[in-house]
Amino acid sequence: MTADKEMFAAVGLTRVFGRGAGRVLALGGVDLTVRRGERLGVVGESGSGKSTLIRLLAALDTPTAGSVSFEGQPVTGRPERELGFLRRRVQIVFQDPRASLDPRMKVRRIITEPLRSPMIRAELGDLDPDARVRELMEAVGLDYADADRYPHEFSGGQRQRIAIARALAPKPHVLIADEPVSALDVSVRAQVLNLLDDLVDRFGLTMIFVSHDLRVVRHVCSRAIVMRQGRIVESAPTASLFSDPQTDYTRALLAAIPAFRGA
Amino acid sequence: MSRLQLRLGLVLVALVAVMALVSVFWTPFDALYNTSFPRLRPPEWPNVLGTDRLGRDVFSRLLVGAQSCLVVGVISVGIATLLGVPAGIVTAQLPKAASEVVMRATDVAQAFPALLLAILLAGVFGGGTVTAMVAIGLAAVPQFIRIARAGALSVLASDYVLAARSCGSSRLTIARTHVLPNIAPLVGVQASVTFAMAILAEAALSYLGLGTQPPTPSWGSMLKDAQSVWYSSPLQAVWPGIAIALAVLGFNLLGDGLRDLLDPKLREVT
Amino acid sequence: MSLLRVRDLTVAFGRRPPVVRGISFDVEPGQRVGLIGESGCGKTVTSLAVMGLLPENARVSGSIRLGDVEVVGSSDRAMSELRGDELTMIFQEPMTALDPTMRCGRQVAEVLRLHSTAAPGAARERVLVMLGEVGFADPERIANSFPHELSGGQRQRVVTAMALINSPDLVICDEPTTALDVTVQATVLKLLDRVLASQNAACLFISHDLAVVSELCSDVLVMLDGEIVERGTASGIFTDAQHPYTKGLVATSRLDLVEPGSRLPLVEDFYAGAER
Repeated sequence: MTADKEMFAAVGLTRVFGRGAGRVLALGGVDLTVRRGERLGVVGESGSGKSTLIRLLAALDTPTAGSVSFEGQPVTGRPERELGFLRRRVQIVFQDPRASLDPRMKVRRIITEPLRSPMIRAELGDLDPDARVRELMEAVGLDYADADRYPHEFSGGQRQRIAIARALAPKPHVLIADEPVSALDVSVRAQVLNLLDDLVDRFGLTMIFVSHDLRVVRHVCSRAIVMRQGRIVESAPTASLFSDPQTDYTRALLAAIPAFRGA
Repeated sequence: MSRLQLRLGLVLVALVAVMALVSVFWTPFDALYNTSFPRLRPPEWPNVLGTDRLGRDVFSRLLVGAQSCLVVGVISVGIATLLGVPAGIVTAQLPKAASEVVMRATDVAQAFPALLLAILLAGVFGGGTVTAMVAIGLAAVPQFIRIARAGALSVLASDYVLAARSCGSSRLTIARTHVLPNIAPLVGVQASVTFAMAILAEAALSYLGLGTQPPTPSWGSMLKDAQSVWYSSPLQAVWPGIAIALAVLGFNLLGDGLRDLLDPKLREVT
Repeated sequence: MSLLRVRDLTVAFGRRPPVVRGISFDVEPGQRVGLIGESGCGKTVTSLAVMGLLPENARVSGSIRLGDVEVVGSSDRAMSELRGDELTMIFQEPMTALDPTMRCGRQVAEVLRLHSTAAPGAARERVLVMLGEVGFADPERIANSFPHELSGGQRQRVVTAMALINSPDLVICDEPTTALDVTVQATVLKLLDRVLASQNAACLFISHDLAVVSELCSDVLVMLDGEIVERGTASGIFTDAQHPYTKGLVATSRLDLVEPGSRLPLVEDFYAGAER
């Protein structure tokens, strides 16, 4: 039982954009391991490199230097056609539910899109798409009767559920959630967070949860890394990060959290 | 306001379509060869719009003329779309340098007037409806490349395309399942406007004798015929002139109405 | 005499049902009132109504009195005399409030010159002083910069300077810090607090972040589906809400009171209400 199996191992991950005077160092020499079953929080403000990091982990971008490996297999430098194992097992839920679903596709087709990818089918075999849609919609708390509707007919929270259902379609091992509740109304956030919690438990997923909101990260994640200007400045179990921050930047982040007065 | 535009546009376009359709099966009189009527008569029974200088019924000729109007529009827009849209989508995915080259080439191509191209082609391949259609279609390609590229760039930058890439979908699949459906409305608006332009261009070419060849009537050639009898029978120019104007207006209104229909959906005050 | 008196305000667009349904509230001089609620509850529409900035197809009834001016039905010309002077607004997206082709200093100066008779030299001086007040250590450089050369937080501070340079009586803030990073948000909120206090300006602060409202405002209005369902002091509402919806909203926002990893309370746990 490899309870501590490494899902992701990133070494010296660096990403530079642009050339010459306009060069931007989005990520500078990041080392990271993500263990199986972990709920890792990635905290950072804009320019911290957190979005770049997860794109590199999901092989949606190539690093300028450094390497990524997934479940022991190298990812960096391999051609797209050899990345089927990654594509099937790592899925992303994006921030803005209005932008992450194709407005011209019915929900049914959106959710089963991963299942139509030849790379994923090679890994997964053929699943009955209708049965899968039913399963997934139920799992995320949506009515299967709505499967033939379009995204604009749903609320923000429901669209995010559709996005989650899509991410779960290929039975992934890792769910990367990129600010999944930041664009949602306050009243809906708790619903989606509870849902994610439930699904991660139920399917034994590893989760990488990116957020600028420390309050949410504290609730959801067991461990968190704090990023600033392309580097990891602190990494600790969430409880100790909050009770005993080690760096000034983390302290500044904690101090900036608005507090309820008179409470 | 835009609803009115759309409706009016649809009505006018439908009118042209009906004229063309009906004339395929029936016209009051033969529009090409029946010269049995007195010449250059004003509207009087049985010639509701009068007769032309060869004694043919003007109304019948007008109806048949709608056919070439539509056919030229459909084929030339078809050519422009089939060539321009894929080219635009491909260009959207090229690296910066290559994309710049393509766009500057389109700039140059766009500067080349359709009519000149038609005259050139007519010189090489002989005049006629087909040459006209091809020329107009080719001349409209740059606009479609531009629109398709702009639309594709926007779609390709979206999160749902990123999600598709994270499933390992190929570029071709993404272009087919995500880009095309989402740029369709934009392309549709462009098609409508190009249709209007094509009608005008065809009329102009026919007027120059390079489009539809006699005795087949086309609104442009009817105008040309009317020119020689302008002083004695000015009415001869009015009918085809109105037909062209209404058809062009119809397609332009349709295009504008569609464009407005698309925009407000995206803007709402909450 | 209240600074802002809203009575039975109803706003509808076209033929659709009203988005704001007969609300009434007051804002006293110097008072900070928070307006909370979810998207679609009508809070932004309310703020636009007060500013007289609703689109053409809006049908407004009721009364909005700012001082002794009646906003409802008043002409755009009359309103534009008030806007930027006695009544200003800070929007969520600073990029849309700032003209990308104009230097920041000039944009702040423009607001000043529109409503006062300051000569260009004196205006420049006041602009620099204001930029200093909103926390810029180098006002000259900021005044000479274009918006795209500044960070989000800096832009929002420029917008704040524009909103406060004419010492308005009422500043409406519509989610002014939502688009900002958390450390930047803290800075901007502190500065808003300070400048509002120093000018004794009243503020109507719209936000979905209850904690932010709690930090800045003394009183709170809770909106749901176009109506005000609860009103009270900030400390009162967040510790002892009366209306079930407010209770739900507060419960679901207070992540700090929930055991990490356990189930978060939902608004639905307290208030069944309209299906969303």
